[in-house]
Amino acid sequence: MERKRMRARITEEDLRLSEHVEPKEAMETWQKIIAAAWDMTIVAVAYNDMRVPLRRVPETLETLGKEVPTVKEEKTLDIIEEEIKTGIRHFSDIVEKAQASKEEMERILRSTWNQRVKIKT
Amino acid sequence: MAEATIPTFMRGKEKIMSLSDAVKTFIKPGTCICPGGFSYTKKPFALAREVIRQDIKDLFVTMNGGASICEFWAAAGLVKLLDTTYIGLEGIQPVAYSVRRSIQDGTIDVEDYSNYGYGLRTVAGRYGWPFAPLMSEFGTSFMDHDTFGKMGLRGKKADGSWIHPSIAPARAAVIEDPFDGWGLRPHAFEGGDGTSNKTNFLEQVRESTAYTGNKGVKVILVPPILPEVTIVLAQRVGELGTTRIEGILGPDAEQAISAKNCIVQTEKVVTEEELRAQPYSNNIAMQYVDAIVEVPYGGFPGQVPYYYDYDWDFWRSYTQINRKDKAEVNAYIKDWVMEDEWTFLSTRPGDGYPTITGTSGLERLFELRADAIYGYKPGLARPL
Repeated sequence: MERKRMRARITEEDLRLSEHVEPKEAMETWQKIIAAAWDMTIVAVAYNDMRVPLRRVPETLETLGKEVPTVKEEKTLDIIEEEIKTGIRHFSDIVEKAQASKEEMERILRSTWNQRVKIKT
Repeated sequence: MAEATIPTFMRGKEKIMSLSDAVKTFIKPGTCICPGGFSYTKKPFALAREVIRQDIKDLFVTMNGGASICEFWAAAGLVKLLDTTYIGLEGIQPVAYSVRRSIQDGTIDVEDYSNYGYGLRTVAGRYGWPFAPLMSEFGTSFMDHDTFGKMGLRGKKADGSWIHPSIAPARAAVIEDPFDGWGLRPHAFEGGDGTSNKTNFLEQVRESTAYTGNKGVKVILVPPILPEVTIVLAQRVGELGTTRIEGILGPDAEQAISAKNCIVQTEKVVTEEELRAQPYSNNIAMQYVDAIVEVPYGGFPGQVPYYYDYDWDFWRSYTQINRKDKAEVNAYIKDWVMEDEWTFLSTRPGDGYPTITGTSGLERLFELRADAIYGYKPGLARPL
């Protein structure tokens, strides 16, 4: 029964043959679209792996922040300072590159809209 | 469901144990134990130190890739049998002195394979193969030596059980290749050898009657490793045991899966959700992990890629100490591990050996922090 229902979902009438069309877009355009899409995907996949630890960082930092007023030795403060400075360096780099990418994405969105309007008129 | 019948992978957070409990539960006198990691890298030293604290003797150590843990155990007089490939402390002491001395004075009986041969044994263990084939031991005296065989540790007892469950009935076996060398280079495609191998050595091998008395290609078979306990260091482990290793993997996954029990020492226990974001990046599935021990900096004095580098100054100093009188080295190592791991970590790093900065304890450990981009500490001084 299940198999019949599955078959019934798509009927012969639903299937259409695509018409043969000559490609209008330049191959270079497609290659650039693919290159950008793949790079954004690579970052998205990598981000997926750091999503949970990144969520945890503010919590562990908050805990450390509460501990700082109890620190007795200056050497320990040196270590905390060094770790935080290293963190800021890496995270600033992430934020900077992510921000630059986002700005570029927004610029492209505006550009695609302009181009759409141009094509229509 | 009775507790004993609950499968390992369903035991959940019960797997998270103290260092002391994990060692007490799984490692006994005579246990066949397989330390993971490679050379100074990602070695589960905290577990190794706890074994010394609990003074667990007569260990059968089986391992690939460096002797740093075995060196400490040998110094503490805990090793009886050793099945290995290489007993060096890399460039700093090409032959680990306590291991060497114990072999020379007969305290340790040793069986050795090539790195490649042993590596294939771990692959066989991982996949449940009865043996693994290789040819690289040919032309050496490999087949002439069998320490464990001479000791009567191979084969079965009268009741049909294995004399030693972790020692194969034979060290290796030679067979005639049923595929007549088809799988080797130069291979059989028309046009001859397309690889860089132009020796045509295979044709000479076909003429040899060595090992079996018959002409033809021969293959050496080596048994899998089947340790009772494998100990591994991983940067992150999920609460149920899913293990993520970063940097050099070495033999860890194979050795962990080959073993009856596996203890993972980790820098941080995290949620399973965190590691499931990229399940293909995980190295050991939860069902192979029996105990999880969280010990940040527990890889000291070794290196944990991306977290901290090894303490070169310690090793430089230690390789002077381990050349002293055997009893003196034994007393040193037992004192060095102290009564527990946190006391050890906050005391021993930088303690009693010269360093460029003169720091000690946790301050010294933070000095060894790796650059997360490189994976190691680029500025670490490594004077010889």
